[in-house]
Amino acid sequence: MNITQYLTEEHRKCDTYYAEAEKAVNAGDWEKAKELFNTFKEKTLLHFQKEEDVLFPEFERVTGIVMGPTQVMRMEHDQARQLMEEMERALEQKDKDTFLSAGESLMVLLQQHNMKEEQILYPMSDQHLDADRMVEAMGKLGEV
Amino acid sequence: MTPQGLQLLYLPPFSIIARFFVTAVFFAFIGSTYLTYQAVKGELLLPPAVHLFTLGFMAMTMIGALFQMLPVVAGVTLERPLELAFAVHVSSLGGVLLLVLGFITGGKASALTGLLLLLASFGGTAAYMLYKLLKAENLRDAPRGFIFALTAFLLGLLTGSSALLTLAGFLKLDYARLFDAHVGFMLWGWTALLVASVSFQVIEMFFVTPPYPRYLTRYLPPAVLALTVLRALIPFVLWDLLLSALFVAYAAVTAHRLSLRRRRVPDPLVYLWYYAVFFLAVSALLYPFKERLFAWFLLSFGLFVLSVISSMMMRIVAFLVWMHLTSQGVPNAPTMFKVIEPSDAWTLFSVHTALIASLVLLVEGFPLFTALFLSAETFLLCCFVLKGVLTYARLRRA
Ligand SMILES: [Fe+2]
Ligand SMILES: [Fe+2]
Repeated sequence: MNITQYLTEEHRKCDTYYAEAEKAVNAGDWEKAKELFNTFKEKTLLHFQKEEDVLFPEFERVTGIVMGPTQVMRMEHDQARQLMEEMERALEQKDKDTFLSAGESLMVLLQQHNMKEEQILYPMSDQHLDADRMVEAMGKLGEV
Repeated sequence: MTPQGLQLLYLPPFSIIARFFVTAVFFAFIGSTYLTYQAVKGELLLPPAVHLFTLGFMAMTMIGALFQMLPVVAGVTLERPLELAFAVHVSSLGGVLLLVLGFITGGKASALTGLLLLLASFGGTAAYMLYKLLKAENLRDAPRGFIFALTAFLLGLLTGSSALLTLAGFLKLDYARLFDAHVGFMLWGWTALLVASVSFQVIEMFFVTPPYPRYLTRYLPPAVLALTVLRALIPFVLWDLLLSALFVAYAAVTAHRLSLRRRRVPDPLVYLWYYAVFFLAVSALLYPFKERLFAWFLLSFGLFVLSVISSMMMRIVAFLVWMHLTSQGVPNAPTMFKVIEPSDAWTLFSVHTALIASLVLLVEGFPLFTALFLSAETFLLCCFVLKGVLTYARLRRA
């Protein structure tokens, strides 16, 4: 399995986790929503960690591009983290509108983010890095 | 290192897409007001009304969206985008107004000046975008589809201009054939194909659906362009039947994808997509009978585009307002449903549904209700797009 396949699959899994949490919030099932949202958040953060701690540093080291796409990707991860915190607060207050609004923004943010990674960053990584070693190192951090 | 990757840094300034979208929705409103006026007078002059929608609303939206999508979706940068957008926007705005004025009054000078402005603005940008895309490497199927759509757009401009010059007496060509080729290039090759190519990327993204089958995303764009070229060169009913079948198939696959979406929250913008593919299929089925049913074909095609643009524009504007504000570090930037509220989307959806219901009266020979609902819908669309743009203007960091 190469880097693109490995990380793209994680994106799809996170999408599904979110869709389930959103469904529970919309139905007003707050207990279930909290549980499902926690799974989504945990898995998404783990995916970010794999990129930020393993893939991006190696990408920057090998290509020499430090202030490039990886910086933008990190910034978007931060924006996503902020939205997830806002959603967590909304869950505490059982505030459906705020949750769904932040969730919609998060979904579109992540989708365009993932698209850029899947289209450009991951293929470039596969081209220039040792894919097997990368996938193994990311796998050690856990499973999304 | 391939410089293409670095284009990820570039989020085009919001003012670019904002000016095209605001102008586009105003043209849609002007177009529907004009249709209402015609309905009251009991006449129907197609060229001005059609071009207010196709050039003023559709092309304005699509060119604006391409400014946004080329860097993000295809990793292609346009040089000096702000200056380019300014020039294209101003000259195409003038071009549409003059051309339509020419159609209404029969004034040759106005129509031809408008035509020149449109060739320079829309034609110039389309050619430039096409050139940039052709130079890009490893394009995915969605941006690859843009290549075929932009080619059809240029061919549509060429045949449209030739038709107009023939009509004005400057060329001695077969007007009926040019007109027929122009409609084929512009509606199927450009509009429907661009919508399809964009959907290959965004349906999966926005609604979390399984991806489109590869044979469709790979072969639909070249097949559609080839058929529009063939039917222009060798008029033959088979090409039209094949085009019709391709788009009915695309519509069916899209409806099926949407039905498999994993996000199950009721969403008016999904339902607008269902309307869109339904009317796309209807217009594709009417197309082989266009000699007798031309106005009905245009009407269903128009409803297809209106549904799809309404749905996408509401989402894109809300997202970009939040994205730009938050990237500028504005604290507590409003998230999407606080920019354009779900109730706004539901209102638009209800009026759209009423518009579709009014088609029953239209068949019975009462066009006024349809024209009024169309005006109401495009007015709402203006309000919501403006609401988003003004939210951005109010909160942004200078
Ligand atoms: Fe990422
Ligand atoms: Fe990622």
